[in-house]
Amino acid sequence: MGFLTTSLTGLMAAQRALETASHNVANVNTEGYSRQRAEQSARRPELTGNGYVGQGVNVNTVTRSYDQFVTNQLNSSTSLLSEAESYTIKASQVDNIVSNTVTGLPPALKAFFNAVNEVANNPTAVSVRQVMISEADGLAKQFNLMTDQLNVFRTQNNGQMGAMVTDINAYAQSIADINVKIVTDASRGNGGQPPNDLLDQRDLLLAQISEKVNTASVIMADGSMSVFIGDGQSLVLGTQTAKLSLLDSTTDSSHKLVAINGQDITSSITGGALRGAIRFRDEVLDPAQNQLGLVAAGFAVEFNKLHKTGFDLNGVAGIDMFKFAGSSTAVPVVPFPGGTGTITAAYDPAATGNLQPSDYRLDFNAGIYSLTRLSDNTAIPIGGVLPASVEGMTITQTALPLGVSSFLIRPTYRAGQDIQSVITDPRKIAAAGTGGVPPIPGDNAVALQLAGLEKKNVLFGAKSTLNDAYSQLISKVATLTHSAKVGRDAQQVLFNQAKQTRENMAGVNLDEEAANLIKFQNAYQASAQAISAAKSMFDVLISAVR
Amino acid sequence: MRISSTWSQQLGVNSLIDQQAKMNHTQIQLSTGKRIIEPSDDPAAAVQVVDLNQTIKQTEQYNSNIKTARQRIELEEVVLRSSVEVMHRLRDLGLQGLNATNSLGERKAVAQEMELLNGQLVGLANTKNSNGEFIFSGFKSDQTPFVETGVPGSGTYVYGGDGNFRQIQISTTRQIADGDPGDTVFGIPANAVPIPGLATNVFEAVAKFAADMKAGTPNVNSLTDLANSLDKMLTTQSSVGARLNALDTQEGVNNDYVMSMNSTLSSVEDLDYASAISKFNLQQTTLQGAQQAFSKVQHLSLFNYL
Repeated sequence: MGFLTTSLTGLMAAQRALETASHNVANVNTEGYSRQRAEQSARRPELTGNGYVGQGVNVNTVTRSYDQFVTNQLNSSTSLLSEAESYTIKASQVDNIVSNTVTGLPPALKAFFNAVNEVANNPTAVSVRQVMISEADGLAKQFNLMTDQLNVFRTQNNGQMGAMVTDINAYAQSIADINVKIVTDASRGNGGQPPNDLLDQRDLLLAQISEKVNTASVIMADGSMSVFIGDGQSLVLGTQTAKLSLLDSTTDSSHKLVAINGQDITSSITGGALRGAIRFRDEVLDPAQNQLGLVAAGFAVEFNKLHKTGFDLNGVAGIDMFKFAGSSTAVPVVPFPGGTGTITAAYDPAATGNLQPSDYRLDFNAGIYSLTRLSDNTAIPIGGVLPASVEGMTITQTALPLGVSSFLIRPTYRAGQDIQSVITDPRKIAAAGTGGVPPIPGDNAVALQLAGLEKKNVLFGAKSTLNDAYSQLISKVATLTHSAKVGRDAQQVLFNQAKQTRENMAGVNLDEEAANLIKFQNAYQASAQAISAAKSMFDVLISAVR
Repeated sequence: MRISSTWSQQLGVNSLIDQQAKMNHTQIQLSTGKRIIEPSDDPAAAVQVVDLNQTIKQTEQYNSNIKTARQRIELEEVVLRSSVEVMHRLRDLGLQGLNATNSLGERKAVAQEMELLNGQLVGLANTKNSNGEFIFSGFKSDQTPFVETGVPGSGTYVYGGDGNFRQIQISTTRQIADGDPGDTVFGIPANAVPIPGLATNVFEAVAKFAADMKAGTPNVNSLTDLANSLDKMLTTQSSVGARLNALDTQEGVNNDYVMSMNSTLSSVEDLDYASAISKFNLQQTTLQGAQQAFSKVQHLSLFNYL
């Protein structure tokens, strides 16, 4: 009477299959869930005189629909998409700031030069001069405000990078924890059955890390997963995790570096929102701040130069109208730690056209100085000695370094933030071309030239006006944002394809599960019928011998 | 091909969001009338918009400069016209006084009127503008241009201004003088009583003429002095007229330029409403279609029949 047992195995198998189908239905909306199926096979038949008699069915295992290649493809698409998204969103913010017709620079620049024109028209009117003083202050404040906004973006960006690093560390820890469970489960000798739901969870964690940073993963022989980022630095190795952190740059605490176990890997980070944030800072934010600073520095140096050729309402020679944090010419110099010596740098009013929107690194080694422009990593020839007048500034040694030393020179980075208007007495505006006592109040010769500065090509090799240089900033940021948007849209399509492939393979189709439920329900009912048949056969047999 | 239920739902939602974003963009375009909402929509055009706006505002500033210059030059013209009238009256009086039939008493009366007119002329030369600046003292606009030296009635003068004149920027390349120094208009005073016929300054010439007239010995050469002075004023007057014309012409040129820049600006940044509205309607239809399809598809399930 083997067929009672046979029917029972059918009943059991249908039950398992029904459980699996309901599990699928229950997890239809679970992120990262892979649909499962109960794998059945016929049991070993029994050899009888009449040949092999079937012994029913076995549920060998429950498998999940999974493909390593498809999953990897999806993870790398996720990295690229979130990199493009993070970059695009941040770049559009800067795009909106620099081009805003109300808050941008052009209205303030225009208002200031209009006021200078009025002073040229009415050099004796103190009220008109007062307007120019106010507009000068307004213009300096506009430079400050815009740089502040860029600084706010930098702070936000740093904050987001910090949050991402924290998330990555947490996800990495969770992967390590799941690794522990999977390895112990495997070694518990459960017959090599795959812990499907744990595997799904681990894959989901990897996908979440991939959103932040591009990953490579390897499944080890013991079933644990190792995760690598950057140039192959291990983030998770079996049950061990490395610690990702943000470090301050040695010369600027607002410039953050990504480090793994304390080692800087910023430049080798690829993909993910973290890479998007780094690229945004390096390609959009810092260049925008340097370009804005270039306009501020070029404007102030040229204006002061011209203003000092004039004479004020008291017949006294003109003074500086704009300063940078207290000095009209000083360029910020930051020494790299570990060096010695002192270097100073100043704007060269005779060479404003040579200013470039960039930071510079001055290196001293074995008695030789060398200068590198950091925006394009170009060596600037200075003949190994100081003082040197290059790139619109003069670099001077005030104390000889004792050994290898480096200095960061920032002619444009801080200019927008530091510029201030320092003349408050309207009589001190030097509109006149000749001075002396008694003063000549009706002379507007220098005021006319100051007004003409608006249209004068003073920047970029004396080929661009101040406004041109600002337009370049708008154009640079807008172009980067535009191509980022195009790139983001392309990545979205690729991501959708990868996601579709994965979902079509591993996602749950409710209609399919409904059909399966019907199928396995029928199978269950049929097996139950077989048991009922066996029962009636027993009954017949038993009543026969009664 | 099997389709994941969640993903098919997600795709539907994505396309709804997509359509909504597109409609939102068109809606902002329609409500602002601008084609470019963010510079990254069209970087080249965005920069052009900024440059055009700057050029327009710059040119408008030149027109404001022109208004200042015109106000000044018109004031100068009024003063010159009055001065010329005074000169005509002076010449008539001079001719009348030179007539030998005049008695000394009559000549004294003539001389008195000439002195009054001279005072009026000096007053005109020392006119101030609305800023309180003397219009005929060049850059030294706080100095009275013509001051009588010595005792009142001495008939000798000094010039307190200088020989400069102020320029006003009226286009990117063009400047125009907003006045003339007094010494070129009224002549350089010698600070001495002149010899009739050789006077360099109109006030000294008139004073001398009047003094001679009062003494009953008017010099006919004084008429030459008057004619020479009148010539200087007329020369300046015609230069002033030419400058006013130049201002009008430049203003016209500037206005045309602003208008053409504005029309370029409009073609770069303004929205083509006809195409935008038809695009909006199309997007609306697409969104409605997507919504209907979504709700229909989402209601289809085998579970409805179990």
